[in-house]
Amino acid sequence: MRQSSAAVALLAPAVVGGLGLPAAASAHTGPPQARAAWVTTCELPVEGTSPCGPWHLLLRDGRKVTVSDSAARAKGRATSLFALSGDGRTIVYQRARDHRLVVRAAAGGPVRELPSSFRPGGEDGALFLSPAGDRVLAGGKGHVKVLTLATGRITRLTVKGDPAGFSGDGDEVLATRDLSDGTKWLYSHGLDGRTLRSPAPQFVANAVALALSSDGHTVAAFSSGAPGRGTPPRTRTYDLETARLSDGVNLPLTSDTPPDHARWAPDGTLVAYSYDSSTTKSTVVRVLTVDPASGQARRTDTYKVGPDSHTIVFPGE
Amino acid sequence: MRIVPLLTAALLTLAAVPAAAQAAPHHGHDSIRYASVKGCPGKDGASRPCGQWRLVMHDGGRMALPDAQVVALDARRRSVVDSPAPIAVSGDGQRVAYFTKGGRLAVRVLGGGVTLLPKDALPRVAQNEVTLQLSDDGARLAVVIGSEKPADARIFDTATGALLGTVPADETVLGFSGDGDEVLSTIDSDDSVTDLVVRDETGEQLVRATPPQVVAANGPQALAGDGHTAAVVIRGKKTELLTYDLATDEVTGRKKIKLPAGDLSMIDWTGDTQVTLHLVSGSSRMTIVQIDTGTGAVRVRDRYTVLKDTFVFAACGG
Repeated sequence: MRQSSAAVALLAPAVVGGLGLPAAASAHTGPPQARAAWVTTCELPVEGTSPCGPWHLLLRDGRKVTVSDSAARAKGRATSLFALSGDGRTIVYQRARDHRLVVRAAAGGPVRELPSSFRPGGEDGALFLSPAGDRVLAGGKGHVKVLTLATGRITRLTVKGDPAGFSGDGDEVLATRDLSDGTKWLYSHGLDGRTLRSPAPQFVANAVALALSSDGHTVAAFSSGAPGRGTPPRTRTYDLETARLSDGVNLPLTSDTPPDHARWAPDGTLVAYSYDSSTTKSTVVRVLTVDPASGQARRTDTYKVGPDSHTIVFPGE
Repeated sequence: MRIVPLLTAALLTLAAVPAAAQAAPHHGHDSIRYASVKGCPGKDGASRPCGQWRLVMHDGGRMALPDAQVVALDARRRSVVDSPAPIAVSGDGQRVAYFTKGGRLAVRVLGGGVTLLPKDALPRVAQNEVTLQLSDDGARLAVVIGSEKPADARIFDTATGALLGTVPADETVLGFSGDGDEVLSTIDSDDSVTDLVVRDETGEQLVRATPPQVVAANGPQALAGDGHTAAVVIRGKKTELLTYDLATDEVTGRKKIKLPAGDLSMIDWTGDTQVTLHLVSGSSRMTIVQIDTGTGAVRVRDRYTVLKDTFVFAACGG
């Protein structure tokens, strides 16, 4: 989730794993996919810079869709929660009228109300959709619930840290936890109750985006690059089981616009999103595809979001 | 009276007692505990360094250092009235490094002679941008220049005044190894991580490692006499002493320890299995403890309160 304003720094961590947008060819099949969701920024007399109006979706075919019953703000938080599935086909959000969580297809159609007990919680609350849009995560430190939409079954997970999104296949939840000794730990919580954990090496602890692979133990980490020395952002994978950190892959980005969010695509590549709101009224989003096996990284999509976006949510975020 | 604690970076000393010296502890009555300069109120009411540098001995005795510069001079030799000139005391309390009133770097042996470093030992820089660090035995002096324009740190032989080597400007010098033969520094790498670097006295790189987050996040790190083991104190929910081997990239020890009150101001290796910490509380109260790296046992070696009129002080290291 990208925020234009420091006033909304209360939001959930901007780090998620998820399943990819299929390659361009398959984008023409199935229901329309969203490239991003955003909410507009307004200057309010008391609150100052604030999100306002309903959320909007930018679809792959270029259309803009307004999610007219969505709330911009919600009780206990500066910006309401909104999540897109990794495939961009499903959305979950807080309804304006009662702040109830609802799920629907990105392209439109009927909404499904989630149980009123299924809530993201207060300021530290998080909301994620699985890569295929078939599971919803809501909650925060200590109280994470995952709802499987097909069965209505709710799985409670004991998550000590902050949830950071689903794995590439939606069967695990990635969480990070900062300890008092200055270290960051990574957790992979399987919905079957199994948990893997490992202290993050420096590169991973300092990463600006993380994503858990569908294997449930490989985490992709993205660095911001070093401003001033021309070092580009870089990605490496880290295995929670073996504690092995891979070699780095340089990304075709500059440290001014580091990755903001990343997710694993179904084909085992990584999709990373960076944005630049410095030059135009609209935010320019660049999408990269990274093959961690070959070290190849290339730009696969560029689009504009806005104008005047306050917060942007990418697929899997 | 405002007392600036030795947290003033320019006045931190870094040093350690070599293993051999432990048999005959050299923190006796004839060694320097710390150097202190008085604070006097200026025209604007703010305190500023004044008088002469005073060397306070372990037995409480005092000596003046009349040839040492007290108020820092800038690059054009004008007084920087609120900044003291840098000074450093070796870990064994036998040597002190400072700028003379003539602007030369000098290393004085307690009860002995003084070595003047060459006139061109340093580029033209403000004295308050210079940090001095002596090795534990005082045989080597590291001069770190913190000016806006990056400059390499310089390592000198204090007996001859000769320049031995340099440490690149993009590294942050943490101090000498326990035996004074190596220099430990950190560097921000291109990869959003902090590396530890060990160089010999000529500046040649011996080891460079990307330590785990727990080592990087809990500085300052201190290098043992073996040239590849670093120690850090972790002050989280638990207080622990951790040792890390740069050569093998392994955490070799992690012991829970119990420390007296105070903020960590210095960490030094003072033996093969001994790390000494300087802890400061209330800005003027110093507690020095020795930790057995094998058992985690903590022993208080010294406690003192610096002279009440102190503007700034620099303690001996180990």
